[in-house]
Amino acid sequence: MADYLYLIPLFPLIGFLINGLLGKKMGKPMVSMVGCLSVGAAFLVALLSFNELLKLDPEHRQLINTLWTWMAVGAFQVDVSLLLDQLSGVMILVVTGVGFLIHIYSTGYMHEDESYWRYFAYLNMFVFFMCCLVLGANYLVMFVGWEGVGLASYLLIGFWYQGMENAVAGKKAFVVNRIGDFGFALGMFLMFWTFGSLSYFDVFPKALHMFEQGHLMLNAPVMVAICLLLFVGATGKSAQIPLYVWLPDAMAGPTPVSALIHAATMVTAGVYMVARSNVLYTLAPTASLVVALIAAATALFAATIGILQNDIKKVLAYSTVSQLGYMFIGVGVTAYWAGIFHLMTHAFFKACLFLCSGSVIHAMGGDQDMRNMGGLAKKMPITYVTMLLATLAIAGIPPLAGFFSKDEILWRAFTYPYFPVMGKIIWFMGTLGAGITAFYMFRLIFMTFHGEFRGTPEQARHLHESPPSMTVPLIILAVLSVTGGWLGIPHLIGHALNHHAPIPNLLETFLNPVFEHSERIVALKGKIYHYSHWLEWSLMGLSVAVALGGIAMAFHIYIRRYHELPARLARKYAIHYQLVYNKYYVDEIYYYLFVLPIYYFSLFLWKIVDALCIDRVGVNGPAWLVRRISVGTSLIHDGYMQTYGAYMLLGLVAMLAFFLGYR
Amino acid sequence: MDITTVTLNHYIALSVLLFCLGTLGVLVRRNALLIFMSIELMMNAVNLMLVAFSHYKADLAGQVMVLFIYAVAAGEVAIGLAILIALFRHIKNVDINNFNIMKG
Amino acid sequence: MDWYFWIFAIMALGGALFTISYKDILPCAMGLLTVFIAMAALYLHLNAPLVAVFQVTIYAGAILVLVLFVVMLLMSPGEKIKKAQVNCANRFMGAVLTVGLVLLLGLGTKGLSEVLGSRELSENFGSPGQLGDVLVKKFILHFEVVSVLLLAALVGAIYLAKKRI
Repeated sequence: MADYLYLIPLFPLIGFLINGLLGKKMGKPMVSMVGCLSVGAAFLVALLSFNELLKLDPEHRQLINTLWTWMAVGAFQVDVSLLLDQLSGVMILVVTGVGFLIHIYSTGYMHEDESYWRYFAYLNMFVFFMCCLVLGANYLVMFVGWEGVGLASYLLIGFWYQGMENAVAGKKAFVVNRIGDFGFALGMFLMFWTFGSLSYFDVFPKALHMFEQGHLMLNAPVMVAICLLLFVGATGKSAQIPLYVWLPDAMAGPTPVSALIHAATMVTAGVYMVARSNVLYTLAPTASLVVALIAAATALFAATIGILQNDIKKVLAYSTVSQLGYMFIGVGVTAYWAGIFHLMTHAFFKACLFLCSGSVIHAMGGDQDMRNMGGLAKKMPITYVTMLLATLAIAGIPPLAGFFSKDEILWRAFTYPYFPVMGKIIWFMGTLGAGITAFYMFRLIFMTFHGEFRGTPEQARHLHESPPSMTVPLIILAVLSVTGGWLGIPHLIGHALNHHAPIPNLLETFLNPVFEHSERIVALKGKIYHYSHWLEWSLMGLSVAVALGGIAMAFHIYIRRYHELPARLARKYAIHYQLVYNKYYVDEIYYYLFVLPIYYFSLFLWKIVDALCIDRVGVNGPAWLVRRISVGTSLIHDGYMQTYGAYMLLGLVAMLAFFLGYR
Repeated sequence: MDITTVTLNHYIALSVLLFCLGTLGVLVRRNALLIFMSIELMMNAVNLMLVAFSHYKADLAGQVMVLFIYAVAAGEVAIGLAILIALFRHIKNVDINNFNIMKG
Repeated sequence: MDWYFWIFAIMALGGALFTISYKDILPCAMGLLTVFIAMAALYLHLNAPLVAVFQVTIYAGAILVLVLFVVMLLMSPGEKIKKAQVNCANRFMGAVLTVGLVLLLGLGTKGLSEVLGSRELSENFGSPGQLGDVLVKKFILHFEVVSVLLLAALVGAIYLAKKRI
């Protein structure tokens, strides 16, 4: 089965080529079949490979498929090889599985679109690149996928390119992503310079070896530099501060695109990358701290923006930024498996939330403003129930998925071995963010599904439940949101539920071999305190209480006193309201700080340097000069033969004089 | 040095003078036919030098060359004068100042 | 004192000066004739009788006659050229350069006779027989080529002189 790993990226690639080249002539049913089946086949192969993986001994769970040598230049050699181990196994199942469901959903959602074939071609291309990213066995193959998903994201955000804002949003996403990619590339260069290779099998053992031999100190500057540079790439791809600004604008794309790319898969690439590089991050505690702090700040910051947005997709976008912050907190405090766990559960419930919102938008005839919605629960029962389940999951209510993953992250942040004090601060920010998350998510539910319908009468007539092609994926994802968390039940609860045969933490034990070296180093170098179970239980209870408090506040403001309380609060805290509603003016700050100077600088380079200096003076100038000189000089030919004869004689006399004088 | 004894030098000097007089005629006079005659003068100077060298070096090749030059000169004169007449038909005089079409 | 040389040298130089200096074209042609005759005489003095005969026949006899025909056809006597001179500077430069050329050539060929040396002339040197011998034996190719050249000149002259149809 290891030799067939290449089929996982290959099927979506073939789907992309067929749909891209021939899609216009094939009918819509054919296009959807090619598109969905290719991802379905990839999912099947992934399942079979995963199955194969499970049969192997836990310590040696790796399937490697080396396809060919990409480049061998001097000391630098890179192969195109694919690796399926526990980490990439989990990721690939999430990517292809959720991807498959979203493809099916898209057949219903995009049904009336005329560029149907282009959509599926791009979507398949995206899945292909994401598989490259996840399955790569070295940083370069990962980077190919990294860049490729950025390209697919740009194409899909600007899918309805006839609208200017969509094209601008796509461009913004791509440019901001590229800034991150630059950091990633620098990190790769530095990594090659330090370790002489980019392959996982070379870099990590070498780093460990150098650490154990004492050549590499903990927190060595070069390690911190590599990790921070790679993290710059992750801030771009996974929308952390300061490069998160593209994600809210990316909602201009079709909703399934938002679900797949900007919720479940592409934006999690950064988390995957950090988890894969866990050895490097553990060896550079400063870098890990930076990651965790930026992530915590992002989680809180984005959550606060989410509470006042009126566009349903924007709320979900900021929620995604915030939840990505939680994932990065997880991998930042060296709790790598917790970050991946939250990645998995987030994929389930966020995809469900986005697809449900797509269903709502579909019913509302394209209107995304929540102020026009209300009371949709009766008209769209399936959507309502699935969305409610997903929202409960994201709010962190047990026993749904979000509770387990978020709680694990917060507990591990609280017990951060490297920097215990910072860990407490991060825990506090995370818990606060969790409460705010519960608040704004239930605000969304209450404004959309409860109360009176506030839209126009034609919209009211148009309201209907979505077709099965859209609701079946919703149901599947909702079920996963409920049950997905049970893969990672913490030991505490596992013991509590059954003393004699405690329920194991399946995910942690499964992923352990990937992260064991890191755990070892942390155990060696970190400050491990022993925390009592009582503390753990109380923190757990505190986070549930915070979540319930958020729900209660949302209920209070948006159900009971909806008619006057929100407006009154907006008037009372007008300045704060304006600040948060306008996203803290970050886009405007970036515009005046970066975009305008670069714009004027490039205008200068164009008008002055290029047009004036290079073209007029450098290129056209000498040509003009030569022309003038030659026209002037050619007037020596005045047409009279005697002039020519005189000049010939001049030459002759000169030569004779020279030769006679020389002798 | 006895300047009265005629050696090769004298013939060379005579030839040079004749040649330069011919050049002067080519470069200074305006009449096309006169320029032509100056060219013939130059050729004669060359012939003289060839025969002189042939005499003083006892090599008959010089005289043979002169014969060939005669042949060429005859042909050249024929053609040149034919061209001159053809030109005259268009412009009614032979002032070479008219022929400046190649200006620039 | 080689009177022969000096007389005919002066005659040649005088004829040349005559040729290039008169305004009217006919005296110039006469001057040219003088030069040709002087040349022929000098050739005789230099043991080249055949060349001298050819000189008179071809130059004085054919070429000069052609020139006189053209003079007769084209130019009325005493005709003044009316247009003003335009390229005085260049012609003056030409004249000055010619003077320079004389000086250079003179200086360059000074003492050449001593350097090159001289040889004894054989009996019958320059006689037609010897000349013909050399011509046909050593220079036969040149001879044939010249005949082709003359053919080309012939064709060219006919074409040029032809009236347009």
